[in-house]
Amino acid sequence: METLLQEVTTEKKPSSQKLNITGAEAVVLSLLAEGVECVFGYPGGAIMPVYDAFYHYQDKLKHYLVRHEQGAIHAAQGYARVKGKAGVAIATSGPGATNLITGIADAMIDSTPVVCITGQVFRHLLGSDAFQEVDVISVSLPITKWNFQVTRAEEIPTAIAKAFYIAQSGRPGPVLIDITKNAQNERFDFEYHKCTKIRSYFPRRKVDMNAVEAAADLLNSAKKPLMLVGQGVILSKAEKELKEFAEKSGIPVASTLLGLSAFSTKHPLYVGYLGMHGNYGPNIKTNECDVLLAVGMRFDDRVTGDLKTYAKQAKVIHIEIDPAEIDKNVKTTVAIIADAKEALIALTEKVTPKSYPDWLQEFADADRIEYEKVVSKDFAPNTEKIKMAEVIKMLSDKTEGKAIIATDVGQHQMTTTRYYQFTETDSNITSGGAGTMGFCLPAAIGAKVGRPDRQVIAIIGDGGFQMTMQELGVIMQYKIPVKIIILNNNFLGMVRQWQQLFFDNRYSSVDMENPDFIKLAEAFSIKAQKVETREELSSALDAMLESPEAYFLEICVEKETNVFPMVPAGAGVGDIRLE
Amino acid sequence: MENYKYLVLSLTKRRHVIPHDEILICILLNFFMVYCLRGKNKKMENKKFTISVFTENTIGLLHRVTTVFTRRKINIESLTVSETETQGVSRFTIVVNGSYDKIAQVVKQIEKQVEVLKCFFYEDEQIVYQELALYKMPTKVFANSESVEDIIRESNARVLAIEPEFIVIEKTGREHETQALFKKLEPFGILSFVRSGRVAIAKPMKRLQTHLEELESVSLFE
Repeated sequence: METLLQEVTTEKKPSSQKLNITGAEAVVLSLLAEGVECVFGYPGGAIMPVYDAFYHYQDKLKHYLVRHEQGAIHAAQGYARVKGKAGVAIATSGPGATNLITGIADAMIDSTPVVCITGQVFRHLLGSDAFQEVDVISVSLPITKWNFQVTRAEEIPTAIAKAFYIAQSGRPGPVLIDITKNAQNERFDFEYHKCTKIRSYFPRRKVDMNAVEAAADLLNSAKKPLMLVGQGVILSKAEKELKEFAEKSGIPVASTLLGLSAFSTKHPLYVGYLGMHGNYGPNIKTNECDVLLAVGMRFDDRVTGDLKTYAKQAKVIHIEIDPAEIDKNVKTTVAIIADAKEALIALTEKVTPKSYPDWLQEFADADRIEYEKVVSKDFAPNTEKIKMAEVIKMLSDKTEGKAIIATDVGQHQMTTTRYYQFTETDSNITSGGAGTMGFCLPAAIGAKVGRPDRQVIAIIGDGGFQMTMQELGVIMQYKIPVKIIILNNNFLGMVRQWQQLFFDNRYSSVDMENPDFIKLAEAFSIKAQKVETREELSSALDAMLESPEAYFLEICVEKETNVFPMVPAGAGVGDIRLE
Repeated sequence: MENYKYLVLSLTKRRHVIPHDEILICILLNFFMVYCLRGKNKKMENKKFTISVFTENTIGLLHRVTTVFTRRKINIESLTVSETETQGVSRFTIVVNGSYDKIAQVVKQIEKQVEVLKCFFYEDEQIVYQELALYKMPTKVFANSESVEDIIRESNARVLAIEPEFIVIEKTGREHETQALFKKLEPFGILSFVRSGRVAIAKPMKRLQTHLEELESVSLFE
């Protein structure tokens, strides 16, 4: 990057050592110095100087004009998830900034590194209820890992350097830099130094070998150990180390929603997916294992169900980078506060090679029960209309589990994460902790921008799609070949399912009268096809997958199917229902 | 727990009316319950804790720290912020009521904030602490009676300011002490009363710098 800066220096002012530029230009140069290649954003009054600077650096920094700021932040999240580095979202002050909020909250709870840059009114107007003034620092405070308001140009390089360092180190998260307009206009001598340390910030601990020994002792004497892996494995790029550890220790591996794709679903040690709509085996076996090893996950209530009955019989080992997660929900016997990769390497050395054929057989038996009661009916239904599960199964087979799958929130999400057989990492882009409807389409756009070499498929319900469907405009304008599948049941399916099961079939505001999605997609010049019968499905999926451009597939699915298994809210994982 | 102690004591006193084996069983049962509750008590029972947060002196950090409490619906009883012996480092002294487990979790979440250097929490026995109270009273109470003067002397309070219309009395001490003085002065007519938040210094000798050095030695920064 230094050469780039020098290049810029020589372009602008060959004679001077330091670069005398505006704050706005400093924003762009700082982004370039951090290796940023693209940003997602929306202009407006208070951020206009930065947009003017973008104009001058179009060849180095690609700006994607979204259709709503929520689209910008979700796209940045999708980008960050597939790239393993921070995505960048830009917005103006006031409503521009507040439109980012949902995505910031989503990134916070799902530990996604995102750097948000917002414009702000002139410094002398701060606090005066000026036009488009919102105190975005206060608004975003509880949902950012760090935020900072810049009111002088010379603060910009340090603030941005800190922003990237904080967003990407330790447990990643969103940060927000709010820059007053005067700071964007002021000129100053620009110098950029990457941030590598902050005295009050300890993002990562060295692996405590005593804890590793204690964990290894527990595992080496375990009869029925179970490993739960979360997104921490993906964030620390520890997929290879996880596989090595699992294969040496012989411990069965179950995954959380966000941990999916970290470990191949086709691996013999993979026993399924955890949580409310997860697999039968790993849920009930959580309450039968003797040692529970959690790696890079946070015991979310959708994973644990009722904590009072969760894994009470087990000794718990928790590998986690964030000390605040230790003992937060589940009391640990041994805590290894460290990066998942380093902890797994250390633990692999200390564990004795073992295998648990009988224990694995118990999972296989549970799988058989689940297959008989749930899966077989999902895959070969006697319904007239297509079931969501059939679509996902066929898609999984056709793509060999190798596509990047973005999902929204609801039945289609749970069905996808249950049945898409991920075999490659960084492939599962979904809103986990926040459950943000409308996340999928922009996140898929960001993912495709980040990984143009991979097939990116957005699977969305008809409800969630209509929350951010305006982002089809981005796909049109920048010709982003995202594949879109709308699983249309004309219902808010998951809410309907709850109303059926827990509110005596009182369907309250879940029935959806939808627009003609095909015409809508075509209005954005996106090839579109509607699938209504089972016979059309396979060829339609082929056409979509083979298309070099974006492709929109509306699949009309069975109106009232329920996602099972299900751990009802508030129940224990042992009380998982199969029907 | 106090109740059980009392129960055991009262049973012991009434020994003559209850047969011996029965009382013995009662006592043993009570001891057993006290023992059982002890483990639970320590972690679950609500108690007063003093939290010391050492932070960078930056704008907005107060908000970040207090959000951790508001999220968990913990009421802050008092809060004091001041500079420490280290330049640029502020100390927040926060008094809250809560269970050990809950406060321990809150402390971790405070420490997680990027600009927080370190956060500690203490029970009252682990700290030396003090508060300060000011009492504004009409000057005429001094003219009319000597008892106010006596009260001030007895309470180790002092007069801070004397104006034609009012005087201001200062008293440092623990809450019950400043409250006792309030009760004594109340009959004479208190015009205004204010009590500061608690300031506290921990008894352990380990310095903040040592804690930070230890943390740094086990940390990685990239």
